[in-house]
Amino acid sequence: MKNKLNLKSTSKIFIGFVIIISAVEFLLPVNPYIPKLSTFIQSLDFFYNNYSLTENILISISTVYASMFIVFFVGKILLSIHAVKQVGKSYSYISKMLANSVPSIIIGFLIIIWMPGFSLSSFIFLLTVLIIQVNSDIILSIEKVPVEYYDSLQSQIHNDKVVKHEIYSNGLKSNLLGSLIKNHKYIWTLLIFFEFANALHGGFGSLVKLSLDYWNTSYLLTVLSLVIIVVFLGDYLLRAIFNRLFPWGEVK
Amino acid sequence: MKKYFLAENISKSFISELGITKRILDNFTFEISDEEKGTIIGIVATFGSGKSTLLKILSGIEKYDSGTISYKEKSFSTELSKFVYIPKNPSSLPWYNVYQNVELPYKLKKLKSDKFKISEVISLCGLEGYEEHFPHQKSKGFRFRISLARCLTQSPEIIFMDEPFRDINDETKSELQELLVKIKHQGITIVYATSNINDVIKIADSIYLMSSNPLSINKKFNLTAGSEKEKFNVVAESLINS
Repeated sequence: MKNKLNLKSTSKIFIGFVIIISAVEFLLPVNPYIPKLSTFIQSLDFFYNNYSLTENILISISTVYASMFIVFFVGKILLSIHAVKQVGKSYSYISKMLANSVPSIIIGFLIIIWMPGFSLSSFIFLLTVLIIQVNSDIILSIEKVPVEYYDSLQSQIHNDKVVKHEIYSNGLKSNLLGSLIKNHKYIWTLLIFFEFANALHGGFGSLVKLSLDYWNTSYLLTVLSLVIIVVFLGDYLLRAIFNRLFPWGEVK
Repeated sequence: MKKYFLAENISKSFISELGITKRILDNFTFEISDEEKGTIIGIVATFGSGKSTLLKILSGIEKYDSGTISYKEKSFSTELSKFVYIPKNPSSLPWYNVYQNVELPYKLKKLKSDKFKISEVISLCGLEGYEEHFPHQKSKGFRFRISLARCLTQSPEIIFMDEPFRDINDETKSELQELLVKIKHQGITIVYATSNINDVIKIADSIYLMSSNPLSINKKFNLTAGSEKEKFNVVAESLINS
């Protein structure tokens, strides 16, 4: 399966990682640039005891996956609507233009200005960005549906709405989840920046800001390593779910 | 001679994005007589001549500008379920397995599945043992069998096929040709459009050679008997004489 992570290469990465960590731990002298594993653990302990590490991790994780979950259902509703109402040319143009030409950073900036101090602003930010991206991907998927699926079913069913509903709502569900997976790393990056700029409300981004305030490389690398691990695991899990639900599909 | 299926004076034109009108059909007439019921009728025309549009119109899924289509001398619009269209590219749905694909028309029409009929067509189309397989794992010929089985569950009278054997290897093509002959022996008429006369001459009982711009019948050959070579000779001789 195309979306499955290769076990062999994952093991190689893991072994390489263990070798590097051991080398850094035992061979390198104490230095301010590359933290040792022991320093990493101390940093974790520092964040855990002083800056609610678990809570901050959970804030970021819940923001990302709750917004993805909601957008999946919004996408399903959009597919059902498009099955009944044809996507107009101007609607298609505006949707693609919004997704491709409006930088997400501007949306984030506007949300910070409009909702100063609002605790759910990062969630609203991700929701807005994801809906714009996923809606554009849905329209592209509809435009790329092979006409043969429609023609063949229509000649047997002779009911435009039923046929389109079957193709869009059942067939394009895989594209919907695929679009969310495609945007997964992107929204994590945006969230870190957003939380960094709006650090009052916690999350990984606020820990990054804290590390920079302390100007401590070990703290910074510890937080970034945690982000990478969480994103990697999230991506792996999402792709596993995709392969389970849509064995014929492909994340493009 | 009684007309079993008659499309009379059909006209169809498209307006391109540049605003140019292209006439695909202009007062086109095509008929299938009672005697031609349960035969294979080949329609041979060049690429881009409008074969697909013609087949879609005849199967009732594409609107036409003017003309009439009748089935057993009554309007065909009330009998649309008797005509099915199989597109040139495989139309089996990748999100369903073979059995679910074949069963789909019942589900979409909210009818109770006829399990006996489904297993009968699955067996006829050589899909037995593959019910749980998904089409994306299979070849184009296999996916054509799925499309065919799905339309056979609806007991059609006429199947309109659009270049079904394009990009299929010769061995599979021969197997599928045998399958079409089996289907015609069940009394189902097959209208087979292609741009390659070799694909259809072996199995066709009659062939229409078409001209394009707009699509029209150039010549009709009756080939009810004889080997592939003899049929070729009939067509070649007739073309030389004309």
